[in-house]
Amino acid sequence: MTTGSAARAPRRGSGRRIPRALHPVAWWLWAVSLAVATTAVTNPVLLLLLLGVLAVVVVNRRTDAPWARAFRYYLGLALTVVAVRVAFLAVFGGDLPTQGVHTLFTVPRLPLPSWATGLRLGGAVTAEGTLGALYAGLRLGCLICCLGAANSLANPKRALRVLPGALYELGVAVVVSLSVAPQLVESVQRVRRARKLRGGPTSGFHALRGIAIPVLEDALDRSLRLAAAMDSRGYGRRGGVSTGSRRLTAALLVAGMCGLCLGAYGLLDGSVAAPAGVPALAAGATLCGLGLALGGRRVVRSQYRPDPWRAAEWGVVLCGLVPAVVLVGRLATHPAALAPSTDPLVWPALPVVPALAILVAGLAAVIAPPPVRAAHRDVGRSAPATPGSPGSPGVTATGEPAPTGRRVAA
Amino acid sequence: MTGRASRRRRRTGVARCLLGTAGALGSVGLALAVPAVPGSVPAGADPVADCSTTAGVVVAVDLSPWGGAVQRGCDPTLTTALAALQADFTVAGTAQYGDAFVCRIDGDPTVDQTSCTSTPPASASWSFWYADAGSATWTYANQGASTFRPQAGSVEAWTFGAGTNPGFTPAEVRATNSSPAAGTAPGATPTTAPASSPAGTTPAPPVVGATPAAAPSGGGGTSSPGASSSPGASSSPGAGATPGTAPGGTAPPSTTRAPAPVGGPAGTGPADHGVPRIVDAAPAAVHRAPAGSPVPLVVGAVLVVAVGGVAGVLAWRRRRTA
Repeated sequence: MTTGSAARAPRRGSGRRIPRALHPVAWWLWAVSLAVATTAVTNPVLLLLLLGVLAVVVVNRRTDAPWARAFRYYLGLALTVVAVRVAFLAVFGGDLPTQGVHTLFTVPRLPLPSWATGLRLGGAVTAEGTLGALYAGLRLGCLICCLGAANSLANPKRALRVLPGALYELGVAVVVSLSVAPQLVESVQRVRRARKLRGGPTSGFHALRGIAIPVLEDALDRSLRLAAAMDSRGYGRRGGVSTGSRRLTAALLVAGMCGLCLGAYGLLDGSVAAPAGVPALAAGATLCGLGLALGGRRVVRSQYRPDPWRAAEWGVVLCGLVPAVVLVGRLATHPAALAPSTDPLVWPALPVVPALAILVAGLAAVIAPPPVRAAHRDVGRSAPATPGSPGSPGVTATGEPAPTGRRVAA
Repeated sequence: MTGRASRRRRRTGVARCLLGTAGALGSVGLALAVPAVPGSVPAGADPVADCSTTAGVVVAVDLSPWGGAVQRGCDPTLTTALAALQADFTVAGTAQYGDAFVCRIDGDPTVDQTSCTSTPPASASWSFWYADAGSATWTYANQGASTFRPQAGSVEAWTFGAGTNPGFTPAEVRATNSSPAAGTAPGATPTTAPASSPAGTTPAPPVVGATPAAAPSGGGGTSSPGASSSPGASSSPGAGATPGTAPGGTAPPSTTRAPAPVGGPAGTGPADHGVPRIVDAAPAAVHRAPAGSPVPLVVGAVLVVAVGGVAGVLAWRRRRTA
């Protein structure tokens, strides 16, 4: 197996590490922490740095599975978001030039009736507004890329194995919702490749129709097959559980969720009475925990080769938590550095501590064990369709929850 | 009004303390203390006279939650409501949205009360109201201050709290002179409520119980700084209603409250509570934050390129060994 020199390079001198898949939950925690950190920032320098760090980690630690190529699609989506945001500002956010702002250019203005207040078509496009849209778009794009990194790095189907037992009955729904993005990416790749083989165009508007419809159909088909496969393996069954116990579990979970919602609302909206905040959140969490524990007792399941949680997993999670804690913490104390003003225009700063914290997240590229790579192959073209290539789920068991368990040892 | 040199923006806690104490005493001494406060406007800089019933927009900011008065300013140029506000007040936005979300006006709410990093809750933020020329009621603005275009002769009000209706009427703050400059037109003359100031020496008549009906079209406005044309008061900057003269007119028995020394936000002692007084604001110093230096951006760009380069190299090696 081919740990590949790329994976080995950063660890020169420490000997070869055995390739293994990092626990998917570790990747998700890492990525979600980075997403939390992202929400605190509109500084473009920090956001681009974060994007770079995400790219480094993904490139260095992704597998060859089809869904592991998802990052570029998310990157494209992020770019689209930025472009749409800036374009919308130019079309709808224009205004009369006023003093003190830097007008870039002026779009012809279309007067709108008074009931359409707040909406404008055309007008002066200012540097302030454009930069503001750019920063906000970049932040949203960064969030999308955080999710993309998680989807590329973590095996979505192995992630499902950690689903709490109490949610067993929801398993099918969760599986379908969690795996839809990776499956779409996989479908796009397959359909494009098929078109290429037939000599059809793979880009441009014309190709869009030829690709989009098969992709959507394929994704739906696969989701249904996955659900059917899970159903046949006993997901969602209720055998042997008393009605009373089920109802109690459901009641606890629903009450807990209500508490969580109320608590989150109370925390975020300062106008709500204080008891609705932390106490409600705590009560909701307790109820949810009780419900999960109670529900989990009645589900007996065995796990084939459970994913280990070792030091590397802890390390990766810590790498993600550092920027989240640092950035969110500093937002209160140094807001100007994290969110540079666009009106008036100022040069974005490069705050040292947040930048270092973001770079710390990049250590995950080294801390995580090297990924299990496919055997030498023309990866660019054939990996997605190679039966038996590790991590091409869906090829064999139509999406059995853990079809990739066998590839652990390599 | 010209003489009302002394409207002060209580920027510092020290000044606030000082003024608060003094105001509670309601003493004449306040008027003397006031000019010492930094930020006193040089006489002649009174902006409100620039507005009239048909020109400019009057901006009133209710600082009563902090024991202040209703500060009144004027922006003769009709651009946006935000620009009008900034003409006479120091506005701080949120870190998140910049000045587009007005978070602090003249330092209120204080840093202790709201950090202004992200959007404050609706119950603790400034709400923006307007009344077009001739209107006797406030309308809650249905768009942001940075996009709202004030009309000539209109009034804008900023109040703190969840959609709190302004505690004063448009007529109380409206400009009543029909022509902008200090030379008051005859028609708009001494419209000060009879009860409020015996000799027309109180440039800031207390707005006591003024009802909208009392001042239909600006003509009968009870408080009309631009129009309180006591001889010499309106036309010549330094003359007339200087702080020194104000105290003299401060205690007309007929008013329910002693009008505080002109423009002294501090004058809002506990006794005044609930009934805002209206004072004029001076033009805010144009303060643009320094743009900073591009060096961090360059360093950051180099760093980003370096990280991106690492990603590129890794991707290239990966492709090669695949």
